[in-house]
This record gives sequence, C-alpha cells and structure tokens, in this order.
Amino acid sequence: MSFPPDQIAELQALVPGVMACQEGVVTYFLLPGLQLPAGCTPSKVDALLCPTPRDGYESRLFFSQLVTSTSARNWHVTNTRIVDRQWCAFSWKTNKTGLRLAQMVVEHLCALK
Amino acid sequence: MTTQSSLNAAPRRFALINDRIITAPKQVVPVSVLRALASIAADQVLVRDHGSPNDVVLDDRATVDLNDGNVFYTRARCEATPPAACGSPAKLAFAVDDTFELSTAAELPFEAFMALFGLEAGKQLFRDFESPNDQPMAAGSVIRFHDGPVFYTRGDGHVDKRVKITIDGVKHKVAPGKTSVADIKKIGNVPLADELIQNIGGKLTPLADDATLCIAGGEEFVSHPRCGASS
Repeated sequence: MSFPPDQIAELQALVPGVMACQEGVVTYFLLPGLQLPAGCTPSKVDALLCPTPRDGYESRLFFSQLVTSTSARNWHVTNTRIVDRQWCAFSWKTNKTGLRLAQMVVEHLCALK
Repeated sequence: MTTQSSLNAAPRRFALINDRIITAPKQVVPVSVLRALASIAADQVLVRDHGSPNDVVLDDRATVDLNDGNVFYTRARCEATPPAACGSPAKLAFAVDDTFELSTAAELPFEAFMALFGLEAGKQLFRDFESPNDQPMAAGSVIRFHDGPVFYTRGDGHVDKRVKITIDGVKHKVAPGKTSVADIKKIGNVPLADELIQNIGGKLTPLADDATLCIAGGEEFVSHPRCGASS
C-alpha cells in the first residue's frame, strides 16, 4: 500500500531517518530513535508504525523494547517478530480512521504521557 | 473595474483540498480528477466546505464547478452523512504567489485584497490567465472570484514579513510574533477540541489550549484528536 508523499514528509519531519518497510502486503514505517514523551525510560527507542489495521487495532506502534512511563500501559505484546526484528507493543486503540501517519504516531505516544 | 486584457485566455483556477492548493485543469472538473490530483484515498470522500454542518459531500462520479466554491476537505467515507440542503455560501479561496487566503466574499476591493495577503502598495498584482499577456490589476478595481482566483505579484514594493509554519504537514504563512494556540488551530483548520503538539527537534511538546507561542518561523505542529484509549 502506498501513502501520500506529504504524509511521509510530515513523518520525516517528526522522525528523521524514517524508512518504509514491507512485509507481505503490509507497509510499516521504521522510526529510528523515536523521542518519547517526558517521563519515559528510555527517552528514545526505535519504533515501528503499522498504519493499517492489525490485530483488531486501527493502527499499531511497536517499540524495540519495553518502555516505562508515567501512565502504566498494558504491554501485551512483548516478543513479536516483524521485518526481522523483535518488537513490543501496548494495547492502545486510536478509535478513529483517516488519521495521517504523523497523527497516528502522536496519538500512540500521547498514551505514554 | 478590472484591467485585464488577456483576450480569450481562461483564468487559472485551483481547488483547495485539506489546505493544499491543487491546480485545476478547468473551471468545471470531475470529482474523480480532483481526487486523483490530491491523492485522496478510496476510503475518503470529498466535501465542499460551506462552514456548515451540512457541508456538501460530493459524489465521486459528479462534476464540480469551482466557481461555486473551491474549498474542500476529505472525510472518512463511513462518517459522511447523506447529502442535505446546505443554505450557507461555500468558502472561496484566492491565491497570490502560491499562498492562499479564504474569503466568504466573492468580490473584494483591490486595497482590501492587497491587505488580506499582506501585500504593500506598490506591488503589482496580476490575475493569472493561461496567457503571456497578463495585465496588472489597477488600484480601485474590484477583485471578483468568478473572474479567476489565482494571482501573482511583480515588483519590488512588496515586503512580505510573514513567516512559514507547518501544521499537519501543510505550510502556512503567518505573521511572526505572539500567536495563541487557538489561532494556530484556526490557521491549520484543526478542530478546537484536538490537541496541538509542537515538534521541537523531534521532541513532541503538547501545547495547552490556552497557551501563546512566539512564532519566529519554521515551527512545526501536529494535531491529533485525543481519541485513543486502552483496550
């Protein structure tokens, strides 16, 4: 699936070095060194955005390691393999379709505030 | 009075879709063409902006006359309501030097138009026709949307002091200085209920709705609808 160039440019402004990855028919976006909200440990992690529905979620943001944050989250995925890497994810529904790629990332990150 | 003598050349026209200027090939265009030019996803519908709860949802197979209003946005197809009568006038967008401004008036005095775009007296304003013989608009004339909404400027008299900021990936020219978060949302057509986040060197900084920023140029903002929830 292709995404509008302006949305990808907006994502690059948010996370320089963003890369699109394909696994099967699904396009993911690798977000290297994603800056996490204040209060998170670590403060930066690699992340992987799945911008299309998966596992019953409108979109998913996977993290390269577990993150502790001010708000405790349900890290129900701790060891899933996507594009040759292990990823973790917490349960978070954005409850809205039509979000831009950057908006999806922000929506997931705000759960860690 | 307009002082255009571009013979039979057609004025250039555009559609403003999600705050992006999309050059239109002609005044009456198929919705499918606008969708293709703006890379609108299949699960989105195109809506003409009347600033009304009954904004006009456009059928993908219809044609649209840009003289009836050239401001559009997209909405998830599943959220689009069936067409209802819309009594509000459609929003109109003018463009000068690839920067747009919205108006609800189809006619503006030349001086008001120049002020709308922050153009100083002395700058020559040309309506853009598909012609090499565009003539400058005269002071005292009336700028009519229906005569063509696209303009460009020439001359040294203009100093545009506005700076560029980015809101949800779209660049906007704004006056530098103190600007409220509410005003930034208005500029970016962001719903007031959404949260605005500033991207400062990759660090996302949420902005309080009642905050004020000092805009210097180059600021980047992303909005999000605060709709997420743990499941």
